[in-house]
This record gives sequence, C-alpha cells and structure tokens, in this order.
Amino acid sequence: MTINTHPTLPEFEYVRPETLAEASEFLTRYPGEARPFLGGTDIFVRMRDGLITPNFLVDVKKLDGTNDLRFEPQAGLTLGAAVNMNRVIASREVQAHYPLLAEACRSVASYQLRTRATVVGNICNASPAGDTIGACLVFNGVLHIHEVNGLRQEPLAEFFLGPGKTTLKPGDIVTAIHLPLPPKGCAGVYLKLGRNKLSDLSLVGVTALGHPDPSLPSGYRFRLALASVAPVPLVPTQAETYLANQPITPETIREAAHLAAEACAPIDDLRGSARYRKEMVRNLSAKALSEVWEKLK
Amino acid sequence: MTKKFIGKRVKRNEDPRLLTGQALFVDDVEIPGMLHAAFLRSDYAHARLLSIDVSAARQRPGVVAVFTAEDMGEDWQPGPPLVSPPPTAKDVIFHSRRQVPLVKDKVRHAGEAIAVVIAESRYIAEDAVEDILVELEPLEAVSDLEKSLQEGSTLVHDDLESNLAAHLIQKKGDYEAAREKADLVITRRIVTDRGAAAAMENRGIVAHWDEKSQHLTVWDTTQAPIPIRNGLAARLGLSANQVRVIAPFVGGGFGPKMMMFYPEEMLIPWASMKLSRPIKWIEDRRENFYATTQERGQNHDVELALSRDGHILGLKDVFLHDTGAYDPYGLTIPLNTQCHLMGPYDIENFTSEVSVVFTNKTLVTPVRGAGRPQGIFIIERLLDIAAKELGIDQVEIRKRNLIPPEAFPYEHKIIDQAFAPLVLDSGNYWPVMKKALDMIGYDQFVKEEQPRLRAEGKYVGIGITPFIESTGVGPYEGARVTVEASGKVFVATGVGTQGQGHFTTFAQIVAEQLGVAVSDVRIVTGDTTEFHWGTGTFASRGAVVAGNAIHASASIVRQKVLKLACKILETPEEELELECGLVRVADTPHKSISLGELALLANPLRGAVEPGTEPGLEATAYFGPQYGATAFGTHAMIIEIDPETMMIAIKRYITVEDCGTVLNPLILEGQIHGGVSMGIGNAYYEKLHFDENGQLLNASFADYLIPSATEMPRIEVGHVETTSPLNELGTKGVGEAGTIPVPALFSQAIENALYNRELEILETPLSPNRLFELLVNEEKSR
Ligand SMILES: Cc1cc2nc3c(=O)[nH]c(=O)nc-3n(C[C@H](O)[C@H](O)[C@H](O)COP(=O)(O)OP(=O)(O)OC[C@H]3O[C@@H](n4cnc5c(N)ncnc54)[C@H](O)[C@@H]3O)c2cc1C
Repeated sequence: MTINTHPTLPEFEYVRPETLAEASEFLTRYPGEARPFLGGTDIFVRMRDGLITPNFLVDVKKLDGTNDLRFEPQAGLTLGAAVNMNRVIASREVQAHYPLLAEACRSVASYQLRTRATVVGNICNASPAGDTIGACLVFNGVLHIHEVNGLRQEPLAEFFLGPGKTTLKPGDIVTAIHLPLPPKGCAGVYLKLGRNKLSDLSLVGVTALGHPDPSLPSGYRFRLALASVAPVPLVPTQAETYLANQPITPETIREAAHLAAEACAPIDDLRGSARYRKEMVRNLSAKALSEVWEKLK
Repeated sequence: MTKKFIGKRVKRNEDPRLLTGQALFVDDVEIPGMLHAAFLRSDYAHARLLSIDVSAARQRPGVVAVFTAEDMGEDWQPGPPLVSPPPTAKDVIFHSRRQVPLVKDKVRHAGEAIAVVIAESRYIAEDAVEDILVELEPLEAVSDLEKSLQEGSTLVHDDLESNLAAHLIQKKGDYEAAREKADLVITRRIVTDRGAAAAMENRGIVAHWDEKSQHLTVWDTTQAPIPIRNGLAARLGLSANQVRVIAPFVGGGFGPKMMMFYPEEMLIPWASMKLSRPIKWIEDRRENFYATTQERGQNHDVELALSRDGHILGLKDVFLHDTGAYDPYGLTIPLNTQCHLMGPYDIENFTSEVSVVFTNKTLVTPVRGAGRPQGIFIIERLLDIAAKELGIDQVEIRKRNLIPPEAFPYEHKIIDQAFAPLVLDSGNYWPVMKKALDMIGYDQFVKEEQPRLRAEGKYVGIGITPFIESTGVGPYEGARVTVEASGKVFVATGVGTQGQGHFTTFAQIVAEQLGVAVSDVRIVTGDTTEFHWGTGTFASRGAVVAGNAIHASASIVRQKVLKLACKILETPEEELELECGLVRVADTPHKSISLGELALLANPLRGAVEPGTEPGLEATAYFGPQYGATAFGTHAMIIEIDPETMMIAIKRYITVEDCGTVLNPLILEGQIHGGVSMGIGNAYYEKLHFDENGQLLNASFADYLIPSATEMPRIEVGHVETTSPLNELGTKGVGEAGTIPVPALFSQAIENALYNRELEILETPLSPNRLFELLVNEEKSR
C-alpha cells in the first residue's frame, strides 16, 4: 500500500443549473461523472485525496427552496439543503424546538467551517462520524429528494447503506431534511468524544433523546444514535427496546448502555482502537442517558 | 548596577507589523516574471528508480522546465554535512550519508523528491507533475529500529554492511562496580516516538538569479541564512558576494528549518540560474509531513543503580536512535540525549552506548528539545520508579540527588554535542525546585486537597519534574551597531528570526548601553547583505550568543560616544551619562548633546579625522562562548483524569526557570508558553504513525493532532536568576526549556492520579486511547 505523498485537487468543471429539473437532468446525463455539492467541505477534501474524481461538480445551493429554514407549528422543521450550520445554530425556532440539533451542529469543527458545512451535506456524505446525523435520526428525519421524475420522501433511518453509500441514485438531489414535531416533553443530549476538546472528528458520538410515553411499560421512550462505531450511523434498537420495557433506574441505564456497546462494530484505526471505542460507547451512552433522564424526571 | 532596560517587560517592537499583516514572509515575495515549482515525490518509502519519462510534462503549455537527477549532470551532489563528523576515536563509528537533491537510483523515504517542474504557475506545475511517468520497483522497507539492525535486514544504503549509521560509547566512572554495591537496580525498556515540529509556516524559497548583475538573491525560511549563503555560493560556483540570502519573518522554526541543505533549498536557486528567471516554491502541509525533518524515535534499555536511601550510584543506558534515511546532522541529537540522561543529578558512574540507525523514514534532525526531552524522560521515569520501590517521596529522592551549588562548574567527564567536554557552568538547583513546589502548593495539595478529592471519587494527580537544558552553544555570532544621524540606532546581526522577539530583546541590550528608547533601535536579522558572519538560530542560543555579541558592539559604541562627547562637552567621561538619546553631564543635565548630532560630528565632511580613530559611531564585535551555558528549571502540574475517557484536564501548570539574566520577562514567558504547548503535544497528542512499509499514515492535521487553545492551561511562570559566568550579560538560553520536561511530567502526574492502578508508563507520546490500552493491559496482568 502506498499513500499519495503530494495530493492535489484534480481539474473539474463547475456547473450551476438554474432549476432543480435542469440539475437532475444534468446529473442523470453524466452518471458517475457528475456530483451535486453544497458547502464542499467534504467533497473537496475527498477529491484532493484522490478518493473521488468527478468531472463535473453541480452546485445545488441556489436551487428552489434549498435556502429555506422553515418551522411550522403543526408540521415541524424543514431545513433546506443549503442552510449552513451556523444558521441552524442561530435559528430561534431550532433553539426552541430542536436544541439537540443546534448542539450537534455546534460540535462540528469550527465556526469558520460551519459557515460552509451543511446538515444535508453531512447526511449525504454518509460518514459514520457525521455529528449531526444522530440528531436527525432520533427526531425521525425524512429527506426530501428531487429526482428526474419528481419528488420523493425517504426516512433517514433507511438512507444509509455503508460508509459513503446511500440510497441516492444518479440525478437525485436532496433538497431538504424534514424533522417532524419533537415529541412532547422531550430532552436530548449529544456527547462527542474527540481526541481533543474542540474540532476533532468524532471518535465516538452518542445522541440521546427521551420523552414521556404512557403507552410504554417504562412510561418513557429513549432514542439513541451512535456515531463512528459502525459502517453507518447506528441506532442500537436493543437498547431502546430495553428501556421501553424496564423501569428507568441507574442499573437499567447501565444495562442499556451495555446493549448499545454490544450493538457496535467499531474499527481499529489511527484515531482510536476498536476496544477503546466500544468502551467509550458504553460510558458515554450511560452518561448521555443519565443526563437525559435527569432532565425528564 | 541597576538596569534600565534589561529585565523589563517591554512590549514587542515587531508586533505592530506582524499583527497588521505588514511583515514580509517568503510567500509575500512577488517578482515580475516569477516561475513556480512543484515536486514529484515518491509514494514508496523504499524503491529502485527504474525509469522516468518527463516528455509529456515538458510539453504541457506553461511548463518551462522539468529537471531530474540525470538533468543535473555534474551538479548533482549530496548535500554538504551540516555538522562536522565526530573526531575519529576509539568506540566511534560514523557513516555519513547525506540527502540528495533528486533521487538518482533509489528512493529512501516516502516523499523524497524525484523530479521538479518549473512552470508559469503553481497550478500548471502541479498538473505537469501528474504527467511524469515514473517506474519504481518497490523494495522492502525498514521502519522499525530494532528490525533495521537485524541480520539480513534490507539496507537503506546498499554500500554499507548494515543499517548502523553510527555507534558511540561514553563512560564516566565505573558503572559495573557501582552496580555491585547497589541496594536496588532498576532495569527497564523505555521508548520514545516521533513527532513533527508542525510550524505554522511551511518551508518556502524564492530564488532570483539576475543575469545582468550576475547576482543571486534568495528568500528562504531558513534558521541559518549565512551558512546557506556560503553553501550556495560554494555549490553554484559563485563568490559569496554574489549571493544574498534573506530569511525574512518566518512562521516558526523549531529546528527543522536549521536543517541544511534541504534538496529544494539547493534546487530552486540552481534552477533559477539555469533558467535566468526568478522561481518560487512554497511547501504545502502534506509535503511538510513527508519532507521536513522530524524527531524523537529512540529505544532505551536502561539501568539505574541506587542505594537504599535513594542516592543514585550509577546509570547505564544502551539505546537506538532513529536518524531516518540520511544523517546530515551527525550525532547532535543522540549526544544531547546522553548529556541530559543524568539530568540535574550528581551521578558519578555512567555508561551510555548509542547505535544510530538508518530507516526508510523522513530524516531526523533536531526539533525543539533536540534529544534533551528523551534524556530527561528516561532519568525522571527511573527516579519515579525508584521512589516507589524505595518508599521515598518523589520530591525527596530528587532533592537528595541534585548537584549541589558548590559543585559548579560541574564537569561531567563526557562529551557534548560539540565534542567538547560537558561542563555545567553554573546553577543553584534546589531553590528553583522549591519555588515550583511553593507555587503549586505541593505539601498542601498532597496532604489535604488530594485526599479530599480522591474521597469524592476524583482522579487528580500532581507531577514535579526538574530538568536541565544545555543552551547557547558556540561557535560565535557577531553584530554591528551604528548610531545614525537621526539619533536612532541600527543593529545588524546574522541570526535569523522565527518569532523569538529578537527585535525587542536585542534592542533592550543596545538601549541599556546607549540610553535610547527601545523603539529607537532598529534591528535587522537574517540578511546576509547586512551582516555576513555567523551561524544561526538554534540550540537556544540567539539571546546568549547573538545577544552578547550585540552587547559587546554596543559597549564599544558607548566608549566612542563618551570619548567624542567628552571633548565636545568639555567634561570628563566619568561625569557623563547617556539618557533619553542624549549625552549629558550628570549633575548639569541641560549641558548635553544628542546622539544624532554626535554621529554627524563623528563623520565630518571637512577637516581631518584624528589618526588612530575611525569615522562614525559604529562598531562590530563578536562573541563566542567557551562552552554552552546550562539552564535549569522545574515544571509542576496538577491534572484530573476522566476515568471513563482518559481525557486529561490540566488544573494548574507551573514553570520556574533559571536561565540566568532575564532580558525581558514578557518574551521569556512567551517562549515558555509556546514550549509548553509543544511539550503537551509531545506528551499527549502528537505522534507520527509509520507502518512497517515506512508509510506515514497520518500526514494531515485532521489525523495528526496538535494541541489547540482548548488544550492549553493557564501557565504560571516563576523566575530565579543564577547568572552564567560564561558571558557578560549572564544569560542562558530558554528556547527549548518549555518543551523538555513535559512528557516526563505527564507520565508522573498520570501515575499519581491513577493511584489505585499498578500503572508504569514507559513510553511517550501517549494519548487518551493509548492510556486506556495501557490500563487494559495492566488489568490483564494482575
Ligand atoms: C476541517 C474539517 C473539519 C470537519 N469537522 C467535522 C466534524 O467535526 N464533524 C462532522 O460531522 N464533519 C466534519 N467535517 C466534514 C464536513 O464538514 C461535514 O460532513 C459537512 O456537514 C459536509 O457538508 P457540506 O455542505 O460541506 O457537504 P459537501 O462537501 O458539499 O457534500 C458532501 C457529500 O454529499 C453529497 N451531496 C451534497 N449535497 C447533496 C445533495 N443536495 N444531494 C445529494 N447529495 C449531495 C456530495 O456529493 C458529497 O458527496 C469536517 C470537514 C473539514 C474539512
């Protein structure tokens, strides 16, 4: 194995369509050669490192509705694909109804980077380390996708197929992520462990959301999503089910955290060993669930 | 005599320019018609170069030239040795193998340059690099230190019998006899690994050969502009006067920019002469990770022999030192390690054997600390282990072994990095350590706070690590000081500046002699046209060696000023004083003359200059210390470890420095802060991961983590001044002091925090993940 000692950004053509239809049409015409992009904070790094070599980059930032951040009291939040993370963080509606999403965005890199990086880009990049994906998952996010034949909606939970792999087909453009209204009385937390306090990619990320649910034996529903511990952002359903059925106590929280850790299949890499990551899932899940429980009690 | 300028917290003269973006860096140099260079580098760490075809690259529009080793003809030569080889003596082996400008037959490390493209823009040059067809036959690479010395290992240099680059044994007293008498002998293997200097500014060069004036100007991020000028002139067949090297503002040196000659440093000027065009090359971050030198890989097998009461009877250390693919920097680093293995302690019996090994990795040359942190890490780890085994307090065992003040100058009877006998010039160690203990409240913490916090379930630990730092080595520096007709003073010296605050400390030294405002002293460093004698900024020597040369020149100018003023003011010299830019009669201050007027009178247009005098108020002087001055310091720290993640929070960080006369506490503290941040990186964040194929796996700041503001504690700095007898100012260096003890300190504090575990840390750098792994292993072995 060798590593390119001197990578450079290859030549490409920049394309800026006027309409979604035009964009989808162009992307379909050049499958494998053309890619949509938003902030470019992932795509340019991957191109420079020689991981992908598209001939056309299709800028979808100016297209219909992609710049809207809209909250409807009956329907929830629709976050346009091109809305950068700093806008998400600054939004009063996000702060009021989805503080967990703002918290997750704040954990991404630096202010400078967040003026470009988008939540939808984070999702479409489909890195298991994506910090904002967990929040979108636990709020049951739904993607709005424009395709050549019109629009479709796709639950985020079914979107990820592997690292960098999604259900998107050539010509598909995600125009927004929609988050339904948050469950009544919910509380959430995002715990990110990097090798330093700020700006590192997640070694492990734990998103937890909880809310009262009288239909369940425990009286509460807990949602969990784990970053960087499996080929895709992971929802450890065993842990969720367990907490739905057991009274919530420090012991059951610990057991749920254990189930979460058992659900992961992290890898060894330079940034952290599998053993360490798994242990951190256990510790941080317990911590996240306890913090959420404290807020709910 | 009380000082008016030296020792004062003067704000930096250079900061307004730096902070408003007005300071010139190499990449700011723009010359009409300038071309740009990009390099083809090897992706393999070890490979035979079978063929190279640059024809397509040459045809790309905008490409002006492509050079390979072949194209250089006779001009292709390995770089000159940077330091002289060790004297031939018994027990000394040294094989000098220097880096080459471009690979000719064999690639020896990933990132080694194979060809250079010169084009109208960097974009074109980079694209043309991709056009080059190169055929490399990959060879097995040697990466691991021990494996590289094993029988049958692949050879980095085919003409040598093994990968042994150098071998040296140093002895003092009789270790074996001491061992016989010992009550306790501690035997351990301790390993230190590589990091990058990671200066904010990468390397860069602009070379401009002007055919008409037959003159070469080179802007270079070097720490040593004068040797670069001399070397370039020699290699390019020019007179030294035809070459001007300018090291403008440089965004961090830290040692790797003292390496000479980098292949690019020779090639860019050479190509500029070939093409008669100015050429710029700015290193990118990835190239910096592969092609800029690194440091710290050593494996030590050590033994410490002690008596029951904790006195060190002897130390034995057999170690391997990784020099990477070439060894232009000779034995500087391993010798520094040997000179710091005994730390600040009085050790009579010492044996150290070093084997320097070639590996297929980036070259190793000094990085801030330069072998010293390894030596200190070894002795301090051993003392911590000894303290535990003997049941003696960590501070007490150190106190018992410190060199006593009456023992200075302390002769160590081994040789230092300059192959001269190692002598510690001066010191009074215990008061410094004591001050650090007081500042951190050691007793109170250990007796009251720590037990209370432990009872709350917290993992808090304290560390206290003394260290020495050899500084201010020769051979010499020089300076010219001139009082100008404006009344301002101009100073030129040869060392380069990479952020050390020279424009201020040097100005303070001059102001002290000439009584002018610090802001009225203009300093030029690192421009061979302004001053062309000297060596460079390295080994914590700028303030000591250049500082004293400036002091010497300024003192001579002061004499000239007084002599002339005494005539004009008709007052004896003893009754004159230099204040506020004037020479005045001490008890009748209105009787005065300004320095500017005196400068004019000293350089008259008519009349006769007296025989035996020189025009102007100017002097050039040099300073070369007999040997290096040794500074001392102690760092202390309180940490809290999150037992779930192994993340460390530094609660307090104390340093107490004794670097002799303090020129400017503000600048000194800046040096310490920067040094400590590098040390924290070395200790807990930064590690270069090479795999067994010599591939660097984390060559980017996304993967190679340097500490940022969030990892930096507030650092409290204390000072003690034991002046050095080796120079008039009494100064010692401090540039590397912040970095040296930090890995040792971290290990001590971590073990102290995890009091209920049998943890013994025998390696650096660590990380939260690595600490976790060590604890898992410890649990298994229980
Ligand atoms: C220095 C640095 C630090 C970083 N730190 C973090 C961090 O801490 N946490 C973290 O999670 N990430 C981090 N990242 C990664 C990156 O910034 C985020 O993933 C970001 O959210 C990506 O958004 P973007 O708009 O820039 O995506 P882009 O790069 O524009 O696109 C990302 C991917 O999505 C595809 N895509 C983009 N838009 C669409 C669309 N509308 N429809 C379909 N596919 C689309 C692109 O083709 C591409 O494959 C970091 C990156 C850098 C450079």
